Order: sequence, then C-alpha cells, then structure tokens
Amino acid sequence: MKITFPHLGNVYFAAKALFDELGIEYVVPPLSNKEALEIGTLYSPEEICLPFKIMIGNYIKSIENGADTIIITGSCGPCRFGEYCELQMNILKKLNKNVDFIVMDVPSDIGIKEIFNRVGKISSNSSKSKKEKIKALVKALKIINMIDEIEADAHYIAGYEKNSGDSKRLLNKCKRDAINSKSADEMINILSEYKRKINFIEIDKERKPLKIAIIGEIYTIIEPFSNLYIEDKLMDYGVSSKRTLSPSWWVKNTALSPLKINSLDIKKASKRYLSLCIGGHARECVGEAVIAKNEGFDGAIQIFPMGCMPEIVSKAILPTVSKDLNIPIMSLIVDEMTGEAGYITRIEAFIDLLERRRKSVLFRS
Amino acid sequence: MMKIGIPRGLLYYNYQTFIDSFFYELGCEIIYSENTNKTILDNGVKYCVDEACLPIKVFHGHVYSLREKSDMIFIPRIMRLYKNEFICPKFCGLPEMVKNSIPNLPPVIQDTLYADSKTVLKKWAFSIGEKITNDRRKIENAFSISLKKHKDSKKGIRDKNYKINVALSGHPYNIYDNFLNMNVIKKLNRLNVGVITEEKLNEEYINRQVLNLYKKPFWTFARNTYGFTTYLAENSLVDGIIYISSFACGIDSVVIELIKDRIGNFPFLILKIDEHTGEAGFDTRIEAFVDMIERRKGIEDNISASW
Amino acid sequence: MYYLGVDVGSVSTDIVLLDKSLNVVEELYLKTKGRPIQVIQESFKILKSKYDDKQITASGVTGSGRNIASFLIGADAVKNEITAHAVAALNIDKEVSTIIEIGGQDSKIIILRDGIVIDFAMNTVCAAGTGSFLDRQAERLEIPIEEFGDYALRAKSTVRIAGRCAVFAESDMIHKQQLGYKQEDIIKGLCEALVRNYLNNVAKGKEIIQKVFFQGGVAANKGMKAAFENALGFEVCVPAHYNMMGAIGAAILASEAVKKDEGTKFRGFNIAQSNIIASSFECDGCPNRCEVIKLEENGIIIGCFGDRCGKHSGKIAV
Repeated sequence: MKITFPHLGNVYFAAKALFDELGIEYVVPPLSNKEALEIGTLYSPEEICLPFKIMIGNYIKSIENGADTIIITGSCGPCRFGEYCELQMNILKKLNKNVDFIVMDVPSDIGIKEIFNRVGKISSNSSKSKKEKIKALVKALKIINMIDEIEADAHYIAGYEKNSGDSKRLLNKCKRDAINSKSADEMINILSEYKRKINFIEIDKERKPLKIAIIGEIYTIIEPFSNLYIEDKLMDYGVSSKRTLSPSWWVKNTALSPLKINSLDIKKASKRYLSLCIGGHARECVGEAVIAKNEGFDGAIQIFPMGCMPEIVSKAILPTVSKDLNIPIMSLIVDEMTGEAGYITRIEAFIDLLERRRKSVLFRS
Repeated sequence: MMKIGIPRGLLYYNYQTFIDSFFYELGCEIIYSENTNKTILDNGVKYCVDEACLPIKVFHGHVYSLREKSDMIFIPRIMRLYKNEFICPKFCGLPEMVKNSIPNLPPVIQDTLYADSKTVLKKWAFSIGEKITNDRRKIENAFSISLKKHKDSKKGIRDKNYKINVALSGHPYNIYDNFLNMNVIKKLNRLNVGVITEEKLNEEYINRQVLNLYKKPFWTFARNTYGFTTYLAENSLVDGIIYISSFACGIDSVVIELIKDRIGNFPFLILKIDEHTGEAGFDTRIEAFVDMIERRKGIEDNISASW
Repeated sequence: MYYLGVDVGSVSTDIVLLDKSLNVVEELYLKTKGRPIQVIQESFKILKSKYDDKQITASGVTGSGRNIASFLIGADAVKNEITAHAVAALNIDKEVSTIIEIGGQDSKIIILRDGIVIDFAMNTVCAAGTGSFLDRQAERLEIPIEEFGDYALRAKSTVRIAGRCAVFAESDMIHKQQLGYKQEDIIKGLCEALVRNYLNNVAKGKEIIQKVFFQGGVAANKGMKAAFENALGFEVCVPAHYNMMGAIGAAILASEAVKKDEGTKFRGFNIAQSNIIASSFECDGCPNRCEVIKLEENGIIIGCFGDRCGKHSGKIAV
C-alpha cells in the first residue's frame, strides 16, 4: 500500500511525519499548481466546486508517482465536500486508475465500528506497536500545530518587519527545511528552531500596518494555490494578516464539537447575524468578520469557490456586518477561470481603500 | 385580522396544503405572492446575491412583492425534512439571506424546523401559532386539520395514455414553477409525451436504489431524485429522463453525475435554467430529445417485430 | 515640467502629460492589440519629437499591463486602475460620490464619500456590457461605433434584450432582428439591457448617489449615458477626458510619489529606439511553476516579474 492524500494547506507536513513514523509508504502530491488544476478541470464535472478539481489533479499526480490508496476526510453534509469521495471514486475508476479510497468520516455518521475498520486499513500496514502508533499520531498533531503557528506568526509579523521580506523568506525556508526532514522528531526540531527564529525578525513596533482578516471557505483560504497566493501578496505589501481557519483549527474544532464547546468565541460573535450552523463554515465566516472588527482590524477579505453553498449565505450577510460595524469587507470568488490581473487589482484597490480611509480618519480626528 | 404574506417559492410547492390550511385555521388573512412572473424574477435578481441559484433569487422576488402588503412574512428556516439528512445550506440560512438583502421588511416568521418527527413539527407549529393567537386549542386544531389535509392531498404527476413517457426530475420548485421551467410539462404533453414525477414512486424503491452507493446521499433532494430516476431507468418504466436543474445548483452538480454514472446511455436530458435561459433554445432541446426517443423507440419496435 | 501617465489596458493604451497644475496638455490613445511594449515605444517616438526627457518630472503607470510598463519606462508610481480612476475624478471634482467606469474588457463601480474611496466592485464573470462587446455589436449591425449612441437616442420605443451574458444578449438581439424590430429600437434596448445588467451586477447593493461620473471608453456612447440617466433618475456627468482618466490618475499619483523620493525614475523617451524583447519561461524551482516574464533592453535584462517567491524579480530573495 502506498498512501496519498489531497493537499489541504499544511496538512502534508503532518501527514509526512505520521507515515514516516508508522513506516507506511506514501506519496506527497506535488504542491497544487496549474497542472493539477488543468488535469482536475479536464476530468471533473463542470459545475462542481474548485477544491474538487484541484484534488483530482493532486490524486492523478500522486498515482503517477506510484500511489494506490487515497485518504480523504469526509463529512456528511450539507456542503458538497461530503459527496466528493463518491464522485472522485467514479472518476478515477473511469480513468482506469486502480486505487482504494479510505474516507475518514466522523463517527456520528458512519458509526464507531466503521471508523475503526477504516483506520485499521491504514494502520495494519504499519509494523509498529500500538503505543508507537499513538506516539506517531501525537507527533503529527504537534507538527500541524507548530507549522500553522509559524505561518500565522509570519503573516502577522510581515506588517512590522524592518527589512521587507524577512518573514516571508523565513517562512519559505522553514517549509523547505521541514519537508526535507527524515523523521518526525527531526521535523519537530526544525520547526522549534524556526519558531525561535521568527521571534528574532527585526520589527518596528511603532509601525501601524494595515491589518486584514482572511475569512471564508476553509479549503480556498488554507490552500494557497486556490486563492492565488493571497497571503504571500499581503506579506509583500507589508500588510499584517490573520486567518483563524487552518488545519490545526479544524482538528481542534472537530474534536471539541461533540461537546459543543468548539469555537465559542466565533459562535458568540456571529450570533446576531447567523445563529445556527448551516453547513460549511458560513457561521465562522460571519463570526470572524465581527471578531476582526473587535480586534481592531482594518478590513476583511472573504474568499470562496464559485457556487459554494454555505458561503453564498454568508456573502449575503456580510454587507450588513460591514455597515453595522463600519469595517470594509471584500468578497473574492475563485474558480478555474479566475484571472490573476483582475484579482490583483481588487486586492490592491482594497488595500488602497483601507489606507486612504485610515488617513482620512486620522486627519479628521 | 393579521395579514400573513406567503411567498410562493421554494418548498411552498411541497407543503402548500399544510401552509395554506394552517394559517387559514388560525384565522389569518393570507396574502399570497403572485405566481412567478417577470417582475418577481427581475426584483429577485436585483436584490439577491449574484451567486445564488435562480429559485433562491425568485424567492427573494416573491418576498419583495409582499413587503408592503403583509404584517408578517412567512420564511421558515427549514433545516431538514428527514432524520440524519440535510437540504441545501441556503434553506438553512434563507431568512438571513432575505433579510440582509431586501430593505424595509416587515417582521418575518422564521422559526427553525427540523421536520423529522411529528413532535418537532408540532412544537414548531405552536411556536408560530403563538405569534398569532393565544388560544392553544385553536393552534392544536389548526395543526391536526392541516396535517391531515397535507397527508390526504394529491402530490405529484402521473400522466396516462401517452405514447412516450418521461420521468421529470429535479427540485420540486423547479418542476412546479411553470414560469421558471417555461411550462415544460405542457410543452411535453403537447408533443404527446406524458410525465411522471418522483412523488408517485413508493419511497421504499427510492431508498433501495440508494443502497448501491458507497455513501448514502445526505441530501433529501439527492436521495429522491437519484432513487427515482435510476429505478425508472433500470426497469425501463419510462422512455427517458428529463432533469430540470438550476444553474450553479450545488446539489445537482453532484446528483446529475451520480445518475449519469448509473444509467449509462439511457436517454437523459438536462435542462439548465437561469435568468437568461432563452425559450427558443429550451424548446429546441426538448423537441430534439423527444425526436431522439421516438426514433429509438421506432428502431426497438422494428427489432422486436422482426423477432 | 510635466507628469507622465500611462494606462496600459487590454484594449487601449492611453498616455497623458499633465502640466504642473494637473491640466492635460497631451493625450495619446492607441490600440494595445496585445503588444504593449511596441505601443509604448511608438507613442514615445511621437512624444520625443515634442518634449525633452528632462521635462518629465514624474511618471506613473496603471492598467492591467502596469507591471511590464513600469519596467519599460521607469515608473514612480505603479497603481491599480481603481485607485487611478478615483484620483483622476477627485481631481476634477471633490464632490464626486460614484464613478461608473466601463472600459474595453471590464467594468467597475467606485463609491466615494468625502473624497475617499469607501467601496468598489468589478465585473466578475462576463464581459457583456463592456466596450469590446459594444464594438462587436456595432460591427455586426454595420454601424460605426461612433454613431451607435445616436441611433439609440433616435429610438421611439425600446425592445427588451436579455442582457447579462454576452452570448445570450447577442443571440437575443439576433432573434429580435429576425422578428423585424427597428435597428434603433434594438440598439436602445441593448443600451438599457447593459445598464440594467451593470446596475444588477457590478453595482449590486451599492448606493449610487450624485454626483456620478461616467468614464472609460464606453462613456463616449450617448445611448449608454442616456440609459444610465433614465435608470438612475438623475444626471450623469461625463468628464472631458473620460477615456484618459486612468492615465491622468497615474500621472497625479506619480506627482505625489515623486515628492517624497528624490527625482523621477523615468528612463527617458529614448527607449523608443531600444531593442526590447519580452520573453517568458516557466520556472522549475518549485512546484508552483510560475510563468516568469523577462524584459530585455538591447540584450540587458531590465526586469523580471510573475514569480511568486521573488527569485527572479529580486524584490524579495527566496
């Protein structure tokens, strides 16, 4: 068995470490890029959402590199993500790609027995003891938390750095070094090292950079290729950005949700505008916009794939949030047709808007 | 008398009998929006977020037309119709979508409904009834009368005595809104094609079809249309399937693929509708599809005749 | 003392020179035709005969081709076209509250209050209603585009054209023609459809209040102006240099930028004679596989862009 998985932000660091520890063969697909999207667009139903298409591209590249088993997380609605596995299996079957799918649905939907059955399919390929397996999982979780934290720090510090580009450079180097590690422990050491290093980036505390919150549909905000590398761009512009949703957030949120104590701050913040979970992360999106204002952010950018059902609801609500709280919010919708020129124009114009707005407020006060 | 505005859109088509009767029995004056028309569509397109599908936009248009005529508008938040299933997320956030898009709305009846058991349904009915009257017996009465009427009401279409018969599938609000679907049923009948809809197939058969899937579809709409179309196709109970789908519908983008994968080359026509659908192209597609079925039938008949 | 402004759009490249008090003293309008470098060189040839390099004290670029142009001419300000349009309009009238801008391939709305941009939007999916689409329809009806607006104004009644998407609008127009409607009525109907489409899409949810500026190439079309006024119920103002506003904005932004720095980065009109070659290659440094564009002048690299990491553009080392 040679396992692969679709790219979901920084998950590939944790996955690599986990399989290294378990001694299971795996293929990390090449980072999502134009080629993955082209392949995916070719084989996917036209009206399906963007993440589906990029994922198909990821699988096919991995299969070319020898993968025969695909692991994805599932969900049971109401967003389309939950149906991905079924359609993707059919597509690969039609392409004569002989692969197994292991879908990690949540226990409440498929039963705890089935979960053990599916996990067993993976872990039976590992010769390690049960204790070692659990240790491996713990390390993987530690890694996803660390890399997400480093990334979040870099995105935030970019607004304060004295030498423009320092934090971006450090982040890129960190990712390169981490993925070249030979074991989970080595990766953890590397990440700890960078976590330390990032505090040494020279910053100018007096600077008052623009601060923008990135909100919206989770895949398109954590997977840089799908949002045309918006966070990199914001770093280049010297903007501090913050994004709450990340793989590590997802893990924590999913773990706490049966107890209903997940993301209490977001639930509270969204209450006035959308008090129920309607699927996907629509409620989170609205809540984060409110939190962004409370934390003194200058604006928020919502990103979602064309046709995303939950985010269409939040898009309808955000103008009211923006008006009530006086915080500019821009929605960017991405699909395979998204032209980079117009996209960048919007981002730059939004930054200009925030800058000029701030100046005029200062001027008047 | 309190004037309740009822938008004739989305799930109104499924629960018309119940809704009408319930508010009538509670002693409300019911103000309906007109059947979907150009003005309703235009206002829907104007106020609703761009990315939404046509039926959602049209619903906005219906609400808009009621806003100056009613004391309250009925926009229930429907979370689910069956246990452990969902409907489209947009229904769950429908009150928010509408209220944040259309200015100056009167109060909205938006009670949340998980319609998977009678107890829950009754609770829901009471929470609405109490907004209108203090008389609990009246609410109780209205509820049981309406539920009975709903159960007794005739649902779905099954034409008889047509040479060609097709399964008409898709979300109910696309099938029964004759403005959105440009009178597709009439058009088919005129071409001497009879229609059958999913309500006419026993649910057991629908649920049996779904068992073949790796994962049971978690959308009620998806389970219904998938089970209905594939059952009829596999048992050759119809000559073809027509699927009316609104452009950018997330659920349809999945279900249509699943159906296609299952039925092979069984005649299957997808009619996409959005606010720009031109009637000429729409008609051409229907006629060509019917021609194709006729020719296919002719060949099959010839073959069977020569046996 | 002049400020140079260049707007490299997908359809046209506009160049202006502003004097010290920001009046337009020179304007050039050329079709881009996918060759921005040559077009800039051609126009510089014209400018060179009248002006001296030293007279240019600031240069700014905008438009979708702003990156390539900034390397080529040496720009003090490189700004997106939304900001440029807003700055140019504000320079004419501080009271402007709404800018409707319809260019060759895209349309925008910019909302301003008290002299600052507070909101904006661009068309997302379709090019219906933009200049290229109108050009195409004029061509199809065999009417010079300059007269298109006059036809609309002559119409006695309107034909309703379904208008959101270019493909549908066109087929609906053809259909209406086949039914025998009058040409001017169809053209008026088209203008109204495009305006309706603009208001329902680009301008959705935006509060349009006076003063409204209508700029971009399509503002030349009287039929469109009338249709906007009809739909909005008040006057819409078309500024004198309506089709140069992006370039004017870029020049003004440059004049502001250069004050802070020392001297202009302008490389001079002589680039008109240079041998400029733009080539592109796919970088294989990482799986991002960025398409990097390299600009060479007489064999010497003057700039690279398009890479995400900064390896080639040198903005930020890897």
